Amino acid sequence: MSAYEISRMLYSLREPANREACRTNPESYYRRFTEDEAEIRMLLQPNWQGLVDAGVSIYLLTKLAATLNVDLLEVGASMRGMKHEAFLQLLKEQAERNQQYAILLE
Amino acid sequence: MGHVVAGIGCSHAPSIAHAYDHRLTEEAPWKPLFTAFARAHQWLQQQKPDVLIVIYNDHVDQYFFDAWPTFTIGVAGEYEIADEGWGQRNFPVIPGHRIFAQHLATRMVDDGFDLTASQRMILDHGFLSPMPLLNQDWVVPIIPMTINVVQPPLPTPKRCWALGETLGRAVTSFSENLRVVIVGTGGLSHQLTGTAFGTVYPEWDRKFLQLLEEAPHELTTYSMADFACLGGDHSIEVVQWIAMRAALPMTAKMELKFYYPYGLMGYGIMGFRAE
Repeated sequence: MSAYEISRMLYSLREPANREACRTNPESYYRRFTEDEAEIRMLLQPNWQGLVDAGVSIYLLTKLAATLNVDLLEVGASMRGMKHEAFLQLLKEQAERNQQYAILLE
Repeated sequence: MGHVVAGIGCSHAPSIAHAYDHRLTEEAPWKPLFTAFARAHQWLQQQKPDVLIVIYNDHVDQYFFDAWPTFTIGVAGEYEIADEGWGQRNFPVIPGHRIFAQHLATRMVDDGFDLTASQRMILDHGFLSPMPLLNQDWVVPIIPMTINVVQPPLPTPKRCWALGETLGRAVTSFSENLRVVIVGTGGLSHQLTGTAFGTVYPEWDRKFLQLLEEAPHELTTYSMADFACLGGDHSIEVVQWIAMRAALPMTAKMELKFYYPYGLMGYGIMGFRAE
């Protein structure tokens, strides 16, 4: 298991042609970089927090999310083990609670 | 000679770029942030900068784990726009200031600070989310610098302070008259992994801004682990603000302060004037 190979694959997604290849056939794209079945499974799900626990940077996972057209807030809900709507509600309540700390400029 | 006339600390985030590109800047949740950036833009114009030195961090768009430089300075004549996965944002190439950058690089190494010079740098949202708001149409040439906050071992906040101090001296040693503004981007609190994903820590953010204003050197007694604990793992980007503040005279006066906790993070802007 190596975060390095996954990271190399995710780094390649800076190129539009690679994103297209990844979207067209994700599994074969992932297999160009790793043959580890556990890694391939995590990528196909995708198991966002599992990938973080394996040592992959969130700054690379955002490239996979962009490729698959997954919103960062969906990634966050998945990492928290929450439904998307429940996470949005949590953020809304947090923002309301935290407004007392704001220093605004006109 | 070169003069450090002012400094700005501000947040960077894909959300800022997204709201700007999708014209959400006048909509309720984003308006306070973009109003504050507009104020910061006006204030920056009043400082009449000839060049902006922008200290930010790369997010695996320029650098990779094969070798991640701790500190870099761009010495190119111009800089490209990154494609972080959403496509390249629609901006022209960004003009640099090669001669001044080469002077800074040489001078800082001579002064005992071994940083890496980059002849080609692709700038990601660490630079590109706030800078179109502060430096519209790229009217002022820029010099990008990076601090590694991604691949361990990370530099200490104390070392990031030393980077700023050395940079300040290097600016002063330039022979031409140049008005220089230092920008540090990153933070404030945010956590982008795990069960605390999205948690914002406004009390710590306010304390950080207060320390930067009143007792900036005290921030060098914190470790990266302290910052991660207080403001979330990804808030360690605040070392860029610390380097900015250290490049300014200690007598610099705070003239601009904004804080807005919203969504996944605490957004902040601070401006200091040196003269």
